[in-house]
Amino acid sequence: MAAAAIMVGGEVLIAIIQAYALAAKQQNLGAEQAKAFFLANADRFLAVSAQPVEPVKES
Amino acid sequence: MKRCLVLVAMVLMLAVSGCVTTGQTGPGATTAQAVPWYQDVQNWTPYQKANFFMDTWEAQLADYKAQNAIPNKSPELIKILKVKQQVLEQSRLPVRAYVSALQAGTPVQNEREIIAWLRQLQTLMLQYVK
Repeated sequence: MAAAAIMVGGEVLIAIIQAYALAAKQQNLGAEQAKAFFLANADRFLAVSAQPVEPVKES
Repeated sequence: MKRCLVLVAMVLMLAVSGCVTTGQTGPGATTAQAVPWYQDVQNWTPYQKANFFMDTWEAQLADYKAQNAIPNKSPELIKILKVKQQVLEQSRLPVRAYVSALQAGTPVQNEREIIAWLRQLQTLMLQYVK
């Protein structure tokens, strides 16, 4: 139980830190840079997210 | 057990405070201010928001896939991954719609919904840290 809590706690911590790192990255881009980044990545994102998220493998 | 409690306390403090120090959220912004990202994001341009939504969703998907590839997962991990899969799937279409609308130059409308999904992705596992 303790091991599971550490694993999950670590996951949450990583997710929170990750969100702030990504937020900081966007804040440091100017408006034109953000637009250029978007135009360069939107098609790739749409391709990556085109399929449903894979189901959980229970085995 | 002690290490576990310390880690849980750290996570809860971060989650509750939810603060990030920023000083460049808009034209002329010069003073550093601590605000939660989900409030600060509302001051960004649509392109900054879209980039953040794409980055965050993809990062969460990568985490999910990495954990889903672990063999012989514990029942707790399977339970967590099922919730995460559901939230990722439910947020997938709103984020795609936002990106597609911005690409097409049409008005974007669902950013509050997306922010709510991303916050849920970020914190959904807190309920299991008990």
